[in-house]
Amino acid sequence: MRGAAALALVLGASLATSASAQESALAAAVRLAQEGRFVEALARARSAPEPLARAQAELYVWHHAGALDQALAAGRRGLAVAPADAWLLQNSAYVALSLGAGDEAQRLVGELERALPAEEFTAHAWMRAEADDLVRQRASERAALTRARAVSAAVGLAALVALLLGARRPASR
Amino acid sequence: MSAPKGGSGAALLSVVALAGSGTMVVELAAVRVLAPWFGTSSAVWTNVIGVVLLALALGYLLGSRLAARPAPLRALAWALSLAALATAALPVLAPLVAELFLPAGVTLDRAASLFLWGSLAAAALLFTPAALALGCVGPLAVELEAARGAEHAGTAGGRVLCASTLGSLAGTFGTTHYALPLLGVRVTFLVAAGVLALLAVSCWVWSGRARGAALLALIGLALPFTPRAPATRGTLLEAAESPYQTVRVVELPEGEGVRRQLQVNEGTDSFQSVWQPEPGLLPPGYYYDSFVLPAWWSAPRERWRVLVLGLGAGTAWRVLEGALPAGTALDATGVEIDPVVVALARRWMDLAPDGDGRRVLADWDARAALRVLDGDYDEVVLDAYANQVEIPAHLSSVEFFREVRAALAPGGWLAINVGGFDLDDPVVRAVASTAATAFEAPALVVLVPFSRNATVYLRRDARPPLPGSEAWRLPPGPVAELLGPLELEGRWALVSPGAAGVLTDDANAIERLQRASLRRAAAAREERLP
Repeated sequence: MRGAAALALVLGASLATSASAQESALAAAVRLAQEGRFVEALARARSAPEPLARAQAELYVWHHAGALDQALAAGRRGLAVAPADAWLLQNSAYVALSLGAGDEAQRLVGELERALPAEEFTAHAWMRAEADDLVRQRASERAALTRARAVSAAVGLAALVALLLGARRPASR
Repeated sequence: MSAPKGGSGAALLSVVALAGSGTMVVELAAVRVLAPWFGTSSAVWTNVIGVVLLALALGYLLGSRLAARPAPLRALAWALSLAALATAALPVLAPLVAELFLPAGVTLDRAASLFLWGSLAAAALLFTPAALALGCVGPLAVELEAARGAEHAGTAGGRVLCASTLGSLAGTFGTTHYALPLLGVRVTFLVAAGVLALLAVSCWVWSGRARGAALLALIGLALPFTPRAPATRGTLLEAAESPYQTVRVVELPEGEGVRRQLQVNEGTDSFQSVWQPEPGLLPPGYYYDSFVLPAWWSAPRERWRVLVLGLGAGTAWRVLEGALPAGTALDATGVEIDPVVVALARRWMDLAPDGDGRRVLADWDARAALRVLDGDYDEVVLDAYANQVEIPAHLSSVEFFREVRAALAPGGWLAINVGGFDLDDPVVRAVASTAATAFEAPALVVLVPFSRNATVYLRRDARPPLPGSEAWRLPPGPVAELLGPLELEGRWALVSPGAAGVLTDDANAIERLQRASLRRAAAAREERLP
């Protein structure tokens, strides 16, 4: 886990700032989650009228609670309505990385790069490196599995042929 | 065919017996040489045994062909020479071959297929040559024995089989109980190779072709090599071979301090125990913290009697030591099957010595220990795993959970750590359902935040508290902070007795369920892809 609690605090601060204008269910959800009142926080998050704010708040609550699958699902819901929202892209990418979902993280980071000015994106470039590493790792796992199956099949086949040939009665001495 | 030059019947049968012993050394040590990458699960054992049996069958066939040709003694010398060389090469080649099929950095949920197919492929490449060569020994020896005494083939075959089987018997006990614990994997292979080489030299000499023995000098090439372990993050503090596994203690940087992990047979990202300098709660993501909740949910008392089945390096103890309610002293017993784990834990992870409310039963199976302990515990913690992902079948049956229930004081708790990915995980559901059957009450399952573990709670003669209920709530503080994330929907469930079947000593599908759990997690991860 990549310092999830510490990151959650950072995210909480930035989310609270972005939400301060509306003093909404979103800000309340962040506050309640930071107080450890997660059930109330989730209820308040879901009461946010705007889908984007709702998704942001849900992602925050689920991530702060250590439920990464649900956090990523909330991020996806938000990106369906606001595909270029930088906050959602950044945090969904982070959660995807934590889950080891390299391909999804790679795609999200790519979209984040398009959504942000270049100088702002440099702060998030580490996520691209991590996503690339994960994708490479998955590719090497798939290759290893293919190799293992091929070797097993080849050795098994060779053994079968050898047994069939070897089982024939040899010519008399 | 002429009788072999030199040598007697007894000498020939000794060669056969020692070769039989060598076969078992290769087979038993084979699992251990692969263990740092693939573990020692029943799937790995099955693969290794299957490969060795197939190679032996081929060897018998090849040997039968060679026996029909002139100079069977020379063929025997060749077979033993090749067996010696292949055996000596095993510790050198194993890391190279294993890493072909299990790349570094694999996560546990990804590793299931790689463990299965990788261990099969690695075993096929590594152990076929030695086992095939050793398989040739029997038919050649039968031929020589029959020719030597002009006996019936059945008589000669019976003697050879008897000698071979007795040798295998000695090899089986010697390898597991003496060679591997005392010498380690590499030296065990080298000793076996050395013995096979001596046998080969004898056969070369008897056959009048002493020059052939020069081939065996190649074994010397294997001597300088030390087998490479999987790559380690952090600093390796100590590594040791135990009768069960390869064990190592690794220190990792953590913020401004350090954390230590005890790892066993780890080719993946998992570990068995964790240590931080101060006792008490661990950071989020560690399931051990959930073991402290029953003490807080219970009425205050001076002493909290805990039995930890699967103590490992004592992480559960250290968490409890630092996080019990004020005024409650820990009285802890731990059962750990691997004495090497306990020894390393005492050296590197502050595992308390026996006495003063602490007692470790090392080299004890959890179920056997449960039967000889006093009972009347306030809490039993079940954290017994084998091979990274396997809850042993005899520690997940309804009969076992009934024994645990009997060891608890009235109102006492059972807390089970179950590796699982969500509340529908087949292992989580089966274990909870089985334990609930034994306790005749629902089991509370909670998913541990930031982890792939669930904790299952049961109470003797009572129900565990429902999240959010009055009985669930705790006074404000660090332990109470653990509760919030567990209360969310989809993060906890009550599992009724028998709701997901009941595992028994007679019919226990836990291994199949564990494989299904890992496959399901890998599939879920793939589904996340756009």
